Amino acid sequence: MKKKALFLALLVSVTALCACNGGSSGKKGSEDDFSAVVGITQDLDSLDPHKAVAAGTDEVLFNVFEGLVKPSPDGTLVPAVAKDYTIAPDGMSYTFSLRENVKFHNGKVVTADDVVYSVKRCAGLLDTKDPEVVVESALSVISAVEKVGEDTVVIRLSEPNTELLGFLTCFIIPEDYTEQESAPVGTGPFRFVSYTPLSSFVVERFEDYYGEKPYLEKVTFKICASNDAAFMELLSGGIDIFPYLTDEQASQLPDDYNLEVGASNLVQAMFLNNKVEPFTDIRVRQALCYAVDKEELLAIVSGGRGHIIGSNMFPNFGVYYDESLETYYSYQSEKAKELLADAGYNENNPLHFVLKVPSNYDFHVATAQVLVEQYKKIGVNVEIQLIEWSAWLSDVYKGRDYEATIVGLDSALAPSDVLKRYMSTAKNNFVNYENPEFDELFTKALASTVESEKVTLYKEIQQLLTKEAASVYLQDGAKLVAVNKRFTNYLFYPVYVQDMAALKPAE
Amino acid sequence: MRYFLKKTVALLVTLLVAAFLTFLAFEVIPSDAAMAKLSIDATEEEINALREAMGLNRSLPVRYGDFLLGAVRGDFGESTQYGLPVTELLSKRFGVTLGLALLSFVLIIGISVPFGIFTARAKTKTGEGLTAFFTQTMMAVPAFFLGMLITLLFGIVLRWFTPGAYVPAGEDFIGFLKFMIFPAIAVAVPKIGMSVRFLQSSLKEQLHSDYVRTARSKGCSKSRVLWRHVLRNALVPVVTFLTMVMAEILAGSIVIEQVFNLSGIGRLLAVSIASRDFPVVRAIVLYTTAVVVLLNYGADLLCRYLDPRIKEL
Amino acid sequence: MRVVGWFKKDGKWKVNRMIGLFLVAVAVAISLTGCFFTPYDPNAIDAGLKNAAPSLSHLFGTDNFGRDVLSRVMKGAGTTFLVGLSVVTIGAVGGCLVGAFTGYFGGKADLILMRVNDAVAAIPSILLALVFVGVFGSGTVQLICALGILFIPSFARVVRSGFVVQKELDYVKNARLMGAGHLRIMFVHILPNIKSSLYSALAIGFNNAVLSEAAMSYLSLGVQPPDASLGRMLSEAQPYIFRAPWNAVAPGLMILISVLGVGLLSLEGGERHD
Repeated sequence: MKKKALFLALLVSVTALCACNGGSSGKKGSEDDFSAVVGITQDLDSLDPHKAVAAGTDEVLFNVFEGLVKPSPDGTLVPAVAKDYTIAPDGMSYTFSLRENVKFHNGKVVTADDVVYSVKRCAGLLDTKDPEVVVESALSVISAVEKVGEDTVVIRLSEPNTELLGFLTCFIIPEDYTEQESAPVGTGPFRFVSYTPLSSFVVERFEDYYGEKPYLEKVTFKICASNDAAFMELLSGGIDIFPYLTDEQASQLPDDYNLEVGASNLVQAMFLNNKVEPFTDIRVRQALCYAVDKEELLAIVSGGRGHIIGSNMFPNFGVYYDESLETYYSYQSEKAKELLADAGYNENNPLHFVLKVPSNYDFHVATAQVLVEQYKKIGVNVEIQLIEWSAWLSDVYKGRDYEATIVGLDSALAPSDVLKRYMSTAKNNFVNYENPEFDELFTKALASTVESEKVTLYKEIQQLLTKEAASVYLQDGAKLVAVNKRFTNYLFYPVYVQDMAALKPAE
Repeated sequence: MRYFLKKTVALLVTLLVAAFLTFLAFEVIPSDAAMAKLSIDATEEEINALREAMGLNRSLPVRYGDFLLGAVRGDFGESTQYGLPVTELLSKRFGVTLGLALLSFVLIIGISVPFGIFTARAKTKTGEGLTAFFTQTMMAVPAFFLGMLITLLFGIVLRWFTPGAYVPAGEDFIGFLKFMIFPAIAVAVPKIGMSVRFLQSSLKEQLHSDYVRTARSKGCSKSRVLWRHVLRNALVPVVTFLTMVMAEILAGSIVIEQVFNLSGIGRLLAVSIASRDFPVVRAIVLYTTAVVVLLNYGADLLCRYLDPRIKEL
Repeated sequence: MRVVGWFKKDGKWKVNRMIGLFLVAVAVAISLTGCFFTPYDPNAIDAGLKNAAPSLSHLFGTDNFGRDVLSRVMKGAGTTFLVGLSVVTIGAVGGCLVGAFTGYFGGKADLILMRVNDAVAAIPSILLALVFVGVFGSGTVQLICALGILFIPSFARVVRSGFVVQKELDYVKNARLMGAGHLRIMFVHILPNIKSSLYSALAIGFNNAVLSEAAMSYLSLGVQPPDASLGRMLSEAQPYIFRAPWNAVAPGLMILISVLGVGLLSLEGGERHD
C-alpha cells in the first residue's frame, strides 16, 4: 500500500508542477511596443558581412550594414553611403561621391579610405587576402578602386560593364577594425547588440543614422530549430514576424497576425545536366518540359500561390522579364510522348533518371514528389534521392555529378547575374549548358549601354534557354510572411532582405 | 588504485578509437568545412586556399597527430563555423542538455521503478495485459511526434508553457522547470515504458527462481523476500539498461531539441555535421564516448554491489 | 508441441501471447497484402483530393498530395517492418556474438572489444548514416546497415552482462567437467538461460528500430520519397495535425499494432517451463 501511495504522490506532484504553469498565457513575444521578435530558421554563418554567404544571413545583416547603394522595394538601387554616382558612357568606370558625415556604429565617420578598403576586400584586390572572405565573382572586372579627393571614389573596370551597380551593394565596413566577426560594425539603421550561436541575434536602433530613424528600438532575430518549431512559437505569441510560412501554416495563422504575400525571387527549376545522357538530346528535355502540369504542381505544393515561369528569370526583373515564355511549354502529355518516342524511348525502353534533391528544402522535396508522378504518366521513371545540402554543394553544384536536381536560384539586382551561369565558360555552369549563340548574346547584352537594346537582348537570351529547354523551369514561389497586427509597412524587396527599419506601428 | 589506473587507461583507449572513427567518417562523407563555408559560387582556387589555411589539406595521420598534441594540452581546436573555441561553444550548450537529462532521468526512475514493482506483483491476467498495453503504447510513439503533441496540447491549446521560451536554470529555476518539464516528459515517456518492461520481466524471472521458493518455504514474508532478495538481483539488468538510457539522453537528442527549440548538444551536433564543422563534431563524439564509458563503469560498480557473485566487469 | 506450449501452459491459454500473436498477424497480413494489392496506387497524386477527410472511397482519408492514406500505410508498413526486422537481426546477431565472447572469456579480448563497442555506441546516428550514404548512395539498405551497426552495442551489453553472471553458476562448471566445448557451453547452455532478458531486448530493439526509422525520416535520412514508410508518413503528417489529423492516425495505429503485438508476444518469457 505504501508504494502505491508513493507512486500516487509522485504522479500528483508531477501534475501539480505542470498545472502551476497556467498563468503564463497570452504573453507577447517582445516586452514593449518598440521591439519585435523575428523568427529565422537558419543560423548566421558569419557576422563579418564579407564572409557570410547564406542568403539567410544577408537578410539579417541588411539591417546593420549598407553599401554604396542599396536596393529599394521597387527593385531600383538608391544611394546609401554614396550620395551620388555616375557611370561613364563607355561603361569602363563608376564614380561615387560620398554622403557627408555618415557614421559607423562605433562613432567613426566613414571616409573614402573605408570605402576603397571595403570594395577591394569584396573584389579580392587587397594585398593581404583572408581566404574566408567571399569574393563576388561579378566584381572581378574591377581593375582598380581609387580615392579621388576626400569624398570621391572611382572604380575602374577592365572591360565594359553597365550592370555592376547591382553588386556595389556590398557592405561598407571600417578599414582598421578587426572585431567584425564577433562585434560587427556598419552604417545601417540598426547596431549590433549581441549574438548567441543557435539562439539569437539582437540589434538596437542606431541613433546617429543619417536617414530616417527606425520606429523599432530593438529587434531580436530568434534562431529557430525548424520551420515547425518556429510556427509553434508564433502560435504561442513568442514571435512577431515570421517570413518563412508554408502554405499550410499561412492558412492556420492566428487572428492577431496579418498574412503578407510577396514573391520569393527564386528561379525554381528541375535543372538538367545537359552533358549527361539522356539530356544531351533536346527532344528529351523538351518532352520533360511538356509533361509538367505546372497548374497542378502549384495547386499541390503552394496552394496555387506561386508564379509560373518559363525561363531562367523571375517577374520582379520587370522590363527584362519575358512573360510570354510562361506558356511556351503548356501541359501537353501527347506531345511529350511523341518527342520521347522520336528520341527512342517507349514502353520497352522507358526513360529513367535520378533526381537529386537537397533534403533540407521541404518545398523542393514536395515539388519532386509531384514531378515524379507527373512523369510516370508519360512512362518516365524518376528516382528521387534526397541529398544533404553540403553534399549537394560538393557533388551536384561543384562536381556536376548528377542527372537532374531541383533547387531555387537567387540573384543580385542585375539581369546578368541570374543568366550568366549559362555561359559556356562560367564556373558555376552546373547545368553544363554550352551554346555559342548564348555566349555571344550575353556578352553583347552585358556590354550594351543602351537600355532598350539591353532589354531586347536579355529577352532573346531567355527565349533561347526556353526553346532549347535547357532545364525544366517551374515557378517563382510565393513568400508568405506572418506579421503581428501591432505592425504595418512590412516591405518586400526583389532581393533577400528583412527590412526592419521600415516597420511602423499599427494605428 | 590499480583499479582506477586500469579504468583510466581503458577510457583513454576508447577515446582514441572514437576519435579515429570520427576522423574516418569525415574522410568518407562528401564536402568539407572549406566548401561549406564559402559561397556556392566560390572558385576551386578560393576553396583550396581556405583548405590550406584551415589545414585540411594535410594527410590524415598528420591531422590526427596534431589533434592528439592539442588534446594533451587541453586544446580541442576552434569551430570552423563559429570561430569560437570548441570547449567554450560546448560548455554553453552542455547546461541545456544536462538539465534536460537530469530532469528526465528523475522522471524515468521516479515513475518506472515503483510502477514496475507494483505491476510485477499484480497477479491478474487483465492487470498484466493492461500494463503491457500501456508500456508498449508509451514506447511506440516516435519522439518527434510525442514532442509535437505535447507542444500542441500544453503549449498552444492549454498554454501551460510558451514553446521556445527556455530559461537557463541559473537565471530562473522555477521558470526553467516550468519549461523543461515538457521536453523532459517527451524524452522520458518511451524510456519509462521500456524500463517498466525490463524491470517487470527481470522481477518475474527472479520471483520464479528456486531461492525465492526456498525463502518462502522457510517462512519469509512475501514483501521481505521482494525487498531483501529479489529486487537486488532483479535490478542488475535494469541498471545496465538505464545506463544506456542515461548515456543516450546525455549525448543530446537531436530530435527533441529540434522540436522544442532547445540549443543543446544535439542541435549543435546536427548543425556542425551539416556545416562539416569537424572540431565540434569530434569534441561531441569524444564527450559522448566519455559519458558512455564512465556511466558503464558506474553501472558495473553498482551491479557488483547488487550482486556480489559478479566478479569482473 | 513446443509451439503449443508457447501459448498454453498447465491447460491454460496465455491470453497476452494470443493477443500478441493476433496483432502481429494483423500487421503482417496488412503489410503482405500491401506488397501485392492496395486500393489505390500509393504514390498517385490528385490535386483535387488534397487532405480529403476519411470517406467510403478513402477509408483513412488522403494526404497533402491527395494520396490515399490507407494504401500508403499498407505499402509503407512493409518497408518499415523490413527495416525494423533487419536492423534488429543485425543488432542481435552481432550483439550476441560480441557479448557472448567478451562475457564468457573476459580478459584481453573483452577489454579490446568492449572499448570498440563503447566507441561505436558514441558515434552519432546521423553521422554514420551519412557515411553509408556517402559511400554507397542513399537508399533503404544503407539505412538498415547504419542502424544495424548502431544496435550492436546495446545488445552486446545486455548479453555480456548475462554471460558474466551465468558463467559462474554451477551448471556451467558441470558442463565443463563433462567435456562440453566453449562454443557449446556459450550458445547451447548459457544463451537459453538469458533468454528472458534477450526477449525483452529483442522486443524493445524492434520497437527502437521502428522509432529510429521514424527519427531518420524526420531528419530526411530515411526511406526516399515518394515511397512511404510509417515513420516518413508520421513525419509528413506533422504540419497537418490540426487540419488533417487522419494523416497521422493511420500510420500511428499501424506502428502501435505491430509494436504492441511484438511486445505482448515476447512477454512472460521469464517463466520457467518446468
